[in-house]
Amino acid sequence: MTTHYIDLTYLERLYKGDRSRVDQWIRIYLEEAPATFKQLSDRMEKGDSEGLAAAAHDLRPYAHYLGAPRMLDLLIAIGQRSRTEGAVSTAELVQEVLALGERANTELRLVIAPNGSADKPV
Amino acid sequence: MKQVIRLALADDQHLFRKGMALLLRDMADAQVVLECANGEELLAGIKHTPVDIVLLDLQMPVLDGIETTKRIKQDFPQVKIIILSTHDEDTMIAQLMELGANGYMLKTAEPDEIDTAIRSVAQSGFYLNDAVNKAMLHGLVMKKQVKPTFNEIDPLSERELEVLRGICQELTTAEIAEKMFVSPRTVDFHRNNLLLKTGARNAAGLVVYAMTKGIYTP
Repeated sequence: MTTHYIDLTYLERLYKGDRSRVDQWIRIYLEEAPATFKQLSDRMEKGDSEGLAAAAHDLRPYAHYLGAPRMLDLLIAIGQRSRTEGAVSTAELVQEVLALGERANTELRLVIAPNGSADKPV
Repeated sequence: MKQVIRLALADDQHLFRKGMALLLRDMADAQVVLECANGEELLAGIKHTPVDIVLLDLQMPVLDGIETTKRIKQDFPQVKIIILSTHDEDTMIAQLMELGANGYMLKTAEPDEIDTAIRSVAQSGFYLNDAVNKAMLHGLVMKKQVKPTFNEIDPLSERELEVLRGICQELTTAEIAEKMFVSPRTVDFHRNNLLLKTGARNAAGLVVYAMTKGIYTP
């Protein structure tokens, strides 16, 4: 059985089941997500605690839209730990978020693939 | 003909703006006429492109949502503001409502709530959800931080109280007028008196007044 990292139920509800708009959202997300996620690692490496917390905060709605609860939990934890223990202390959490982001992207590409996937996470 | 609600979106996150524009595309009586990446762009845009409601993010570069709210209320008082944020702290929500925001929602709100909020703000001038009610009660009642500008000297008349309760129930001017068997102009007259007497700046402020004075309980 395939493990799904995302659940697009919220997006489906958001766009009232309009598949074309869900796909449009996913396409924009796939274009912009890498740069947005990169901000996390950049700010962590620079030791920018406030910047990292803010970047993690900004990403939270997307974790919600993607139906990725583990990612959401990690982003909340990064924000909290960055402010209390410093950016560098979040290294493992940031790595896990980036890995989850990659897996989510792989699933999203399948969702919008021309022939789709028999095992879509929707 | 039904008037179209002109919307502006201000959020530094392109994905969120585009996602919201996609969502609002099929809202029959609303149209996104302006998209901006920060408060400064928004203020410049409003000068040339009139809008009715701004969906405003808080955390933005150049000019953030808090400063933008202050500037809009000062320079474009007719423009209504719905804050769309990831911040759910009571203090933040209460602060923005105090500054004159007409509604406050989380970016993770249920899809239907966005539609409801826009229509409510367009019709009655405010949208209060559970988060805002909680923040206002927490900030204004629990901490006893009742707005000092409310005028206690001039009591509200029975008719004004009726209008105030109608506003709290999110009734439109026409609906209040029908309920009271008066004209919409008379309701507007009472509404203006309410603003003068309470020191509130908008319908949301009137609701705060009503709640803190026990005139209305949500």
